[in-house]
Amino acid sequence: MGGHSRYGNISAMIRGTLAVIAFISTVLFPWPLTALIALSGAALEPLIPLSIGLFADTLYYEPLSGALPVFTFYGALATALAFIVRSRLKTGIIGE
Amino acid sequence: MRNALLSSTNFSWGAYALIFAVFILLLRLLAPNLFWTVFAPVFRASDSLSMESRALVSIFSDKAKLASEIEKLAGENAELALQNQSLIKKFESLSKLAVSAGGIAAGVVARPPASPYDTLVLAKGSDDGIALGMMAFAVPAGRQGEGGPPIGVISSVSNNFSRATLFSAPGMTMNGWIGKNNLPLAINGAGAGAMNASVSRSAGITAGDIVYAPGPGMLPVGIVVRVDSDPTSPSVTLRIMPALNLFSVAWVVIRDTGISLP
Repeated sequence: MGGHSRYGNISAMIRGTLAVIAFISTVLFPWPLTALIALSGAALEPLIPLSIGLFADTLYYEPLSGALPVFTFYGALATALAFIVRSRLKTGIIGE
Repeated sequence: MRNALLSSTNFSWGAYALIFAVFILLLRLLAPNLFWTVFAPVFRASDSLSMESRALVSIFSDKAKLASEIEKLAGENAELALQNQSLIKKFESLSKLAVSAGGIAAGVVARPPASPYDTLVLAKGSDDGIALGMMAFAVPAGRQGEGGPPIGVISSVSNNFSRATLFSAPGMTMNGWIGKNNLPLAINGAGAGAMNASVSRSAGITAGDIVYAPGPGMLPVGIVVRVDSDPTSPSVTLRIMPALNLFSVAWVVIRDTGISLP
């Protein structure tokens, strides 16, 4: 019981650290690295790609450089995919 | 209670991240000046951090390898200096044709590749006289205050900050001309600092030709680096690189050239 709780805390810490690193990366590092971190984070926290896409577009998007805020769009897509994959995995585990 | 808050089932970092992103978006939309005041120091810190990290990484490199690299770079540097001199002379002679109106020097707060849309965030805004549609000219290193080739246009302005969309941004289209016969062409942004244009095969455009933008005089915006041709097509595609490396622009000069984008 205690072990499970400790595992939960560590998992929450990892997810939190990934989210924070992804936000910092948006400002500090080239965007491909940020995209990679956000996509990696999607496995643990599906909302991270959408959040990072929204944040990147808030910082850098200009309507003159394209009608579509690409990062929000792809972030939403990655988030949707992550939710689908997670729900499928959960169903698979329950079915076993 | 503490365990309940931190447990993996109740505590969603993703939801908090999304709330934070939405809050930042609202801040930008409702109080753009406050937004840039908050983020400008962050961008500046990131700039200095990347400079310092480069220096730190170089300390750990192999010394012999470093020495050979330095030697090689010194050779390249001398070659580039000569090339740069000739280019500067060429640009100066061309710039004499332009109206020599003094511009507004602005520091670049954020630039590609951190900024993914080929935009620059500038530390000057409407309070400093910057307005929408003004043209941004890159300032070559060591020539602060003087404008080099035009690189983009001001696309948004707040009181103390502004954003310039580079000509290389996807979706940007500008008119220009090229070659000895001043052939008109539409220059399209291709992203990542590059531009494309399409001209007739018979125009005889080759790599190395300079591309100019309209304005008061001749404004060189880039150089043709490659000509892609398809035997079935009567036109060729020009791959154009800006005259300066846009990813290392630290200062720009903003001027009103009186032209507007199509």
